[in-house]
Formats: sequence, C-alpha cells, structure tokens
Amino acid sequence: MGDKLTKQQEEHMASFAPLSRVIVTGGTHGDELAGVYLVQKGLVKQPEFLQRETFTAQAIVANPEASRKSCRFVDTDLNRCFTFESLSSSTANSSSYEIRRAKELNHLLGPKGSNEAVDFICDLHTTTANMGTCIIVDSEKDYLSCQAAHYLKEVSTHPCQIMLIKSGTPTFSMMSLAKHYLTLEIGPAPHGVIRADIYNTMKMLVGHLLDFIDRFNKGQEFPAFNMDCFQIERKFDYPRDEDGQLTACIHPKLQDSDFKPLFQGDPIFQSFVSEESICYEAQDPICPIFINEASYYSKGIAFWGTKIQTFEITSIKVSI
Amino acid sequence: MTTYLNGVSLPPSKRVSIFGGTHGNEMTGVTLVRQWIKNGAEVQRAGVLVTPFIANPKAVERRVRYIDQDLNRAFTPEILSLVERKDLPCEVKQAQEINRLFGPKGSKDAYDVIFDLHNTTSNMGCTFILENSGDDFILQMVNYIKCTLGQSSCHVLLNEHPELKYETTRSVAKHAVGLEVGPQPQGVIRSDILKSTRQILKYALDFIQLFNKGEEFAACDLEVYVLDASVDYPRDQHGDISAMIHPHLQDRDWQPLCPGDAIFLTFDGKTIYYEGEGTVYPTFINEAAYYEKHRAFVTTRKKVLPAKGVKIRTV
Repeated sequence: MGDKLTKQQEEHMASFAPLSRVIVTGGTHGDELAGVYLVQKGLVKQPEFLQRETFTAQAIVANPEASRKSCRFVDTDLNRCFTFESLSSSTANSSSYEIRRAKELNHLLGPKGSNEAVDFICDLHTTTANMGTCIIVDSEKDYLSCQAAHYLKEVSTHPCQIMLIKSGTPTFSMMSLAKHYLTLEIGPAPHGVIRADIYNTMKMLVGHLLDFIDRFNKGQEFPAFNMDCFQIERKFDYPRDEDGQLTACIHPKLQDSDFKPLFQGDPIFQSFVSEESICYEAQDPICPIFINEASYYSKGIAFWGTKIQTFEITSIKVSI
Repeated sequence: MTTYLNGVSLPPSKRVSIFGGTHGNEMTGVTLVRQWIKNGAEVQRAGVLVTPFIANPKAVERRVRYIDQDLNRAFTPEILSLVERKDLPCEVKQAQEINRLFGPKGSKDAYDVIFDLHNTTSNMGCTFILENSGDDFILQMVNYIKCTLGQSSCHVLLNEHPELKYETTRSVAKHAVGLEVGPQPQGVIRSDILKSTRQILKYALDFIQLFNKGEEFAACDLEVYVLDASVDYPRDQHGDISAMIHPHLQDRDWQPLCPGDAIFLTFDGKTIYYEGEGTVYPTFINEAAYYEKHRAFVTTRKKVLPAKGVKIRTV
C-alpha cells in the first residue's frame, strides 16, 4: 500500500491523508450499461454532481471500445487484467486490447501500489443475478474502504450487502489501481439493457459515496464497527457433459435467492433431461451469490459460495 | 384449403421443425433443441416428423445474437436467391442452407410448421408472434393452448405491418410460429422460462397430432395484439440515446398505455410522455437487441380475430 497507515494504538484509530483524487469508473464491462451511461451521460454532463467542498471527482469509461460496442470485452475481461504480474508484463507481446488498456489505466490512475496512485476508485457494475445492491471490497484490512461501504449501507434507501473477495487472493480488479476502492454491483439487470431503477440507485449511491469522502476530508470521525459481510469461499460450476455443455440449470428454488443460506440437501441444479434436482451436499451451510450471472457461464461459475463473516473495522479519521 | 360446412379442411401437418438459436444468445431454444437432438422422445408425435434444429450454430457457439447480420431478417427473396459465393456473410449462407433444408420458401415442398424459439429481455411472458391473420390452423393451435393452459398463459402478437414486418427464419415453412419468452437476460438459462416454453410446445405438438388424427376444432375468436408502431429512444444530436424507459413503463408489457402516460426518463431526470392516439398496448419494452435497431418498445392495438373451424382434409 502506498499510503502510510498510522495506527494510534491508544485510540485504536486509523488515520489517512485527505482523499483528493477520486475516480468513478463505468464500463469496465462494456455491456453493463448503468455504469457506462451514468459516467457518459449522468456525470460527465452534470459535472456539479461530482463536486464537493474538498474535492472534485472524475468520471471515466474504463473500457471505451467494449462500451462503444456494448459488449463485455473486446479480447479479454478487463477486470482481471490488473494483477501486478499482468501490469508489469511486456507490452510488445500483447495483442489484447484490454491488456494494453489496463496498462494505460495503470499509467493514468496508478501506478498500482505506489504513492502516486489515485486515492479512491468507485467501479460501477451490474449483474444478471438477483443481488440487489452489493458493495464489493477487497479486504477487511482496508479500513477506509470498509468504512465507506458501511456508510453506504447505512444511508441507502435500498438494502445493501457487503461482499469481500476471497482471503489471500492477489488483487486483480480495475479498482485495485487505487489506494482505496470499492465496486458497486447492482442487479438483476440484463447485459446490454439500461434500467432506470438501477441507474437511479447507482447514481444515488455514488452521490452518497462522494459525500462520505467529503465528510471524511473535513474531519468527521467514523467510529469502529463490526462489519457483517459475505466473503467468497469457492465457486460452484454447472454440471456438464463430456463436451463441456451444461446438463442442468440453476434450480428454480435457488434462482434469484442470492445471499440466502444453502443447507445440505437443498436443491441447486435442475437437470434438463429429467428435471431431477441436484442438491448441495456439503455439511457446512454456504450463502450463494452471483447466481446465474450471464458472463460466468464461460468462466465455469454457476454461483459463488460465500460465508458470513464479521470483522472489527477500526475507526478512521483524516490526518492533517 | 377447402371449405366444409363449419370451416376449412386442411392437409395434415406431417413435417414440423423446432428451431433454437436463431439468435445465438437466446438460451432457452438453444438448450431445449440441443436436448431434443440428443433425445427427441419428448417432442415426437405419431405420424409427424419433428426435427429439432439449431438455426445459427456459429452464433450459438460464440453465444452472440449473430455473427455478420441478424439471421431473423435474412429470409428475403433477394438474399435467398443470391448466387453462392465463399465470401457471403455467415447468416446469408445459413439462410440459404435453411431454405434448402426446410423450404424452399413458398413452395409445396416446404416444411408444414416451424416453431422458432426466442427469448427477450422484455417482460413479455410467453408470446406467440404470428405473421398471417388468415392462418386459421395456427390461430386454432393458439386457441387450443389458451383453452388448455388458461387464457393468460400467452399473448399473441400479430405482425402484418407493411413497414415493420420482416422475413423471419420460420417464414420458410407453410405455417410460421414464433414463440418469444421473457424476461430472460441474453446468455442466461432460467429454469422457469425453460419450463413455460416446454409446456407451450408440448400442447402445440399435441394440437398437431389431434388435428392429424381427425379432430375438428370449431370456429372461435382469438384475442390478438396487432403491431401498430415502433417507438425509438429519444436521441441527441450524435444519435446516442438521451433517455431510458421510464420506471412506470418498464416491465409493463401488454398493459394499457394512454396519451399522457410516462414513457421515458432523461438522464437528468425529466419525464417524457406518450403523445400517440388512443390507448395502445406496448410490448418489447427494453429489449436489449433492439437498441441497435432503434426500438425502445412497440405499440399494439387489441383486436379479436375470428378463426374458422378447421379439420383435416380427407381426400
């Protein structure tokens, strides 16, 4: 991490320098239109929305070529191109638009992991899964981002869930260019479609996030809290035949049931041929999310299994 | 077609095909047809050859709507009669192949019925898309399905609009039946949508079998929605959309829309109202594939269509 983290042990508080370079990104996946349009039409054309007393945020389309074509990506998923390894690999070898774009973004918003990286990225996504409003944070150790997520959850008129990436995973996403970051993942929305309700929810949350950062910069202390979140454990793929084709789909009882616990014996898939149920077999309950996300069929993911975790998040305050 | 005292007598339907993947990312048809190609027992009926068929395999493989151009617009006389060349667009070649296998379109050798399975991101439920208000056989089929499953089990969209009708994949057959089921995102298989589609097809095939065995279907009335107009999104000077489907219209397919009702919401929060004439019934509201076709929704007008009685012609 580039930012110096000073832990004042007597007060158990984490302090950070004010956040001045704040970026809102849409179109990391070019067919997730709420983010694309919010950036292109909602924010770029209404610059006052991005202005706060202590900073002015910037709005960027992360994958302009895919956004232009309204497809997820041109060559490869941009949101997997930001590992340190990928960013430092030789450009000459890469014919992938997204790998080149990732390096451009690293130059523009990073370098990732350095002091020069932007202070905060909010990345906008939609999903075909019935996840409602989900705030994705990489790690419970990024107290500032966790506090931002918590703030959004508290002020949002819609229920929000916080999701944490699997522990120990090297950071790979576009948002990880910044010192602090989170993703807003809202669903269900088909890819290639703009729904006004999702657009408005996304806009409302971006506004609240910018308010949070402004308050933080002005000296508001955000007290310690216990963060209840869903942490990724493992993925579950569809049953497939020897050619890799699906032999079953998400069971009607699981469809649209994101975040609700699955217990041993609960149906998860339904066979195409016999309509017979295939059940969750493990003893430990798990909370499935990203159930039936369109772009995950090719990644071998029917849903992600998560566990409910609670982490103590330290209070934060700006350091002058 | 010959008339009898109470209706028309028609030849049996002996060759029927079920198409999936006319659009390669509309997964219900792709999934069902793939299953039926492996094991077609579910769709077989005595005395009827039922052929499940993947209409656009290259698009299905890439899970996209089409490779070069929309297959479901490619069955024009001009395209079908193009001289074979290697560099023809993918869907042109495929349209010609389908015409060879299931047509020729307009000839006596064409397949009797093609069911073309589609999905939509619009909240249309199960919708039959028909192209000919005089096709009593198909009107009676739909009536049979509605009487069996319930009047609300499906809607009928009738497209005979001089400017808006188009040459569909299924138009190769003597009787063309489009089945559009939604809402389902592109690239996704929903079990509930799979089940409804399967159920509708089951009764459609049952109807054909009953008809072929000699059952007579008495004259009836069918409520249909006649395609009236296509409404584009408001656009700016660059041609980019400048408003979204209004939350009051979103998901309200088939519900009445009156002048003065909200239809669009601009990105800066202003409402745009419907200014057409009289009450219409909108559908295909917010279909993903129609953004590039400049269509936010279509309007329809409700009509009751009389269908003549039908029975098999015994020569």
